[in-house]
Amino acid sequence: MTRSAVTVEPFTIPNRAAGLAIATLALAALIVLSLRVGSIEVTMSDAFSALFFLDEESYEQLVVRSQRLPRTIIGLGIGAALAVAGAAMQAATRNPLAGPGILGVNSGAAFGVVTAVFFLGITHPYGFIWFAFAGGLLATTVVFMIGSVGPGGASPVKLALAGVVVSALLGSWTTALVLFDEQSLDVMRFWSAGSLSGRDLSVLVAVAPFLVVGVVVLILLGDQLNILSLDEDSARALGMNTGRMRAFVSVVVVLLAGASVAVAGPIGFVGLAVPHIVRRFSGPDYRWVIGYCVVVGPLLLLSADILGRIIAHPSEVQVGIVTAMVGAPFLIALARRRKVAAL
Amino acid sequence: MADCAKARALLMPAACLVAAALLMGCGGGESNGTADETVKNGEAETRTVHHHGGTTKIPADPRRVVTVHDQHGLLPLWSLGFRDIVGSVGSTRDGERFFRRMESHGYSPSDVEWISPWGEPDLEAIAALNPDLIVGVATNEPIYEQLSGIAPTVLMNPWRDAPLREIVMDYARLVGLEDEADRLEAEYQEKLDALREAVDEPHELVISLIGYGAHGGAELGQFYAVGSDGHPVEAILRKIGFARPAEQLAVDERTYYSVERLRDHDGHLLLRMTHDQGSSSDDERHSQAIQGSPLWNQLTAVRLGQAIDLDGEAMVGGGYDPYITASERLLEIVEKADTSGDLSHMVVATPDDS
Repeated sequence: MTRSAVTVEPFTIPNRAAGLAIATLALAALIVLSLRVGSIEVTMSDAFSALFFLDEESYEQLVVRSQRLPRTIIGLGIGAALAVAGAAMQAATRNPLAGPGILGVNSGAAFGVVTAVFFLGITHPYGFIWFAFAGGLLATTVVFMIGSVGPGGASPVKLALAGVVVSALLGSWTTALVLFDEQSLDVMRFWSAGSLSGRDLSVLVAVAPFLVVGVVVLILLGDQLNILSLDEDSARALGMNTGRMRAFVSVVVVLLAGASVAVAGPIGFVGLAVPHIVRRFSGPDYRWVIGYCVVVGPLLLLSADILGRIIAHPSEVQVGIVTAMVGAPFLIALARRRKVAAL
Repeated sequence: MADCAKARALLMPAACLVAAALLMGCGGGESNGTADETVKNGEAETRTVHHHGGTTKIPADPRRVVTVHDQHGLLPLWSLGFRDIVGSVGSTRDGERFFRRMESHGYSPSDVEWISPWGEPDLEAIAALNPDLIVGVATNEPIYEQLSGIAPTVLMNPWRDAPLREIVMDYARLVGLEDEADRLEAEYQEKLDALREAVDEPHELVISLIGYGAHGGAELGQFYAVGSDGHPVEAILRKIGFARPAEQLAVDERTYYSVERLRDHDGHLLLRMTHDQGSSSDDERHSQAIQGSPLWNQLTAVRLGQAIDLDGEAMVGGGYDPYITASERLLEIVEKADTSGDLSHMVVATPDDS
């Protein structure tokens, strides 16, 4: 009888809580690894001292404090934001292959930055953040406007198609601007593949309010996301104004994804893959999916970052490239082994 | 007898062709810009040149030259004193069109028409200039046939493994300025001699040469060593025999490092190639990621106040100018160098060791 109960309902609260606890422990271990692994060897003792008793004459401790700690903290924030944004986007569009990029956030952010450099001569890195943000927001607004045209309002399919069209358009404009100016091309390199290396922690601090508010709001919206992920008629029958809710969720997603892109550049597959991974342990309930994403997102991103530090020694591979390299086969395998989990 | 004479008459041209072919074959794996012969062909004299793209008849005295690379086409020809260049590919900065490295060497080729970005040569614009000679580089090989359809085209290979003198002479032969190339070679050798005399024991002065910034392909938070791949400053440092971070002598080509590895690239002198002309925002971001790091302040060269920027714009490109500029600047630097710092934290080598 017990066996039968487990088989029928594996996603009990104790199971989910245990899974979340294990993931949290794994993340803690990975944080330690992230502080120790890199181009030079760092002992556990140096890693510990760097955090609590910094000796400013110790090169190893300075490596931890000035390089690895900031990128680890950025990885935690960005990983959580991207994963949560991806899960919310999949619920809002009822599209299992949706991610933040589907609303044109990445292409909008890149276009915003190149525009700032080319037309306004923005030279300070902080200037890029807000243009990345504005570009992402503008792109999403346009996607929603296009996706809402016609009967039925903003349906998932129309939104996805509008996202593809706007991304392609912005991508071509960005390329055109870059062709006119090699300086923009140099800056554009930063936005071609996301990375945690060399990023200033103060940039994360600047966008942290958006990240924190975005994640908290989506955690609180878990119930609403469950309803939104149902079919249109069911959601409406339960009293939800789906258009309004979808628009609100999308704005929050833009806040999260735009802030992430502004700090680290575009990092793909985290927003797409993590929700699918966590549903195997959390089940389809978005109250748990979002909670798991907060932990598993950084777990995946930091793993990719650590891998990127090792595979091209003495150089490094950007985390955006590693997530793409690892994420693509993973998703193909996922799709082949089992049908994409129910949303 | 008459038959023999007839046979000889028939065989002679064939033998000449075979001999010519053999001579061409013996010319070495990659001979560039080698003029074989000058032939008066109707009204215009022509010469046959063997180059990276093949063999081409070019005017003996070209008057309307187009270059399909700025820093390895326009610059080396211009620095030889050749001015009959009607157009060249170039670059863009802040919406302005320019030819790379020319301004850094005090050249203002105002009569040279800017054709297109160097990465995308505009064939129609090149044809419109009605050139009598097109000078490209090895990377233009994919469009060599189209260029040859417009005018006689030679492809230079300044990146091949050959002495600088040989490479510059390839350009000089195209335009008949071999004497000027010899004069510049002598000037360069004088600068090297001055550098040798300035430092008694180059093996005791450890010089590190690094670069960072998007211009060099480095990601934010990374720096690079240029390796032995023909960079003027690197070539001079090796030629004089200065001690170097072992890592930098071990690499053959541009190699990227995480900022965490800065300590292995320390020295009495830390020379940093800058290319911030027109890209200050980018340079600032990269500088902040490297020089803003506390790891930078741990370096012996930084503590000695001997972390020095080199104007990379003036020290890369074709011809002798970058080499002469670099050797002059290095002389200024090493004459004042302090070698008192402790470098026990790193592995040092000399070019003889590598």
